[in-house]
Order: sequence, then structure tokens, then C-alpha cells
Amino acid sequence: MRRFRKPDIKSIFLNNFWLKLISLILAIIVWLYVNGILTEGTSL
Amino acid sequence: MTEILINLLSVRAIVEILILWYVIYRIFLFLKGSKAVYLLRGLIILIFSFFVFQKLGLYVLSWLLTRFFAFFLILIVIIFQPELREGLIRLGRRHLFPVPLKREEVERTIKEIVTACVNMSKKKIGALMGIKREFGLKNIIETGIILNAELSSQLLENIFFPSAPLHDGGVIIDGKTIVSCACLFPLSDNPNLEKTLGMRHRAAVGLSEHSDAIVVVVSEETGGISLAVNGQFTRNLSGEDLFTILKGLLQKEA
Repeated sequence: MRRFRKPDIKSIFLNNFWLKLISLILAIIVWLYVNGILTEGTSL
Repeated sequence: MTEILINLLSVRAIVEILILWYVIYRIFLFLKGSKAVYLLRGLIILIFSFFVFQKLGLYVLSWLLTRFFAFFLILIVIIFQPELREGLIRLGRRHLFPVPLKREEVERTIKEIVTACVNMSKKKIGALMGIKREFGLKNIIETGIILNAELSSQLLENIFFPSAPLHDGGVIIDGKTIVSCACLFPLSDNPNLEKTLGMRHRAAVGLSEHSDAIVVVVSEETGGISLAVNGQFTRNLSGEDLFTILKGLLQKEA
């Protein structure tokens, strides 16, 4: 039978924290830029 | 500004940003530790500069950067070619229905590997063993001599005995079988690796970077036992440490 380990929320959040944060910032910038082009007229 | 905030808080935007975030994060994780990461850092600085120039109304500079980006896209494909190829191979390599070993079989396999490592460590016999997990290692297996023999510590010690014809290169272990020996493992080009590491250790890190295999190395010079997993290298392990780590890594899948 497979044993399940209790997920540690703190370690999930803090593991590679800076990489996750930079990725999130970049994702928001890319989304805003593309959304701005698609909706026309809305820019950063 | 309020329009941007309203846009950002919609469910569609959150879902799209989360998917984008996950893709970007996985790309960063994949590139972490490779030479490409320096190039990526430069690219991020350029993207930030572009937005700053636009915001400040520095149109000449942002025009120059836009032209440079078009050229840079072609450069990226050329420079990132090994990483792109490896990424696509990784996507397609996963087995859909892997047959897991029984718990007792995994433990027996680990015991045989650890016994062989401890014995070779005492005699300062160099060894390199790749333990296959989910990813297929066909291209590595084909570089060596196919054995398909039942795994035992004695056989491992025999393969790596210095005057044995097959002692050069590494062995690939799949479950309770030594699939092939005298295999050529890819060398790591990680610039952060210690300069003192020899070819055998670089090959161990290389295979762990190119696949999800666990690679065990015994140093010929010091007799130290080391382990490479996902490009991470752990040195000077005792037999007990190796047993515990291998058990933790392999029994998760059984």
C-alpha cells in the first residue's frame, strides 16, 4: 500500500522561493503586455 | 490603473497567470545550474529595461531594444539548442505504464548495490552505476555491452575490478537487472561543479542531469562513495547513508 506523506505547506512555499517569485512577476508582466495588445488601447 | 487591477482580479486572468507562472517556473528549474541560466539572466534584465524605457518615454532606446529582441529570438534558438532538444526529449521519454518492483525486491537490490559499493570503497576500486527510474536510458545502454544479468554485489565488483575488460565506463541497473556495462555517460558541463572532480564524477552528475536516474560513484583515489540525483551531488557517504538515501528514493516508487 502506498504511504502518503503529510504535505508541508511552509517548505512547498519556501523551496526555491526567489525562483517562484521571479517567475510570478514575469508571468504577470507577460500577461499584462499580451492582454494589453489583445484588448487594444490598454497598456502598462 | 484601476482597469488593470480589475483585469488582474478576474478568474480568467488568475487562471492564465497561474498557468504562465507554472510554465516559466518549470523552464527556470530546468535551466538552473546550466550555462544557459546566465543568458537567461541577461534576457530578463533586457525585458525589464524595455518596460522601464517605455514607461519613462525613452522611445529611441525602446525602439533599439525592440529591434534587438527580433534578432535575439533567433540567437536564443541557436544558443539554447541543447537545452531545447533535451527538454523535448524529456517530455517524450516518460514511460506511460512503468512496472514497479515489489518492496522486498527494491530492498534486496539496494542491499546488493550498497554491499558492492562498501567493498569497492575499502579496496579503492572506482565504480560508476546508474540506477534507472522512469526515464528510458536506451541511448546510454546502447553505448555499452548488453548484459541483462541478475544484480549481485559480486557481479558488480567483478565488472569494476581494475584489470577486468569491462571495468571502464558505467553500468546501468534497471530493477534487479544489470542491463549493460562499460556504458558512456554524458559529462556534466555545470560550471559550479568543483574543479577537483574527476571524469567519473562529472559523468555521474551528467547522467543525473540528462535523466531522472540515480547515479552512485565510488572514487578510485579516495574510496569515497558519492551520489548524484537531478544534477545534485552528495559526497563521502557511508554505507548506511547510501542505503537510507537509496531506500528513500526508490521505495517511493514501489
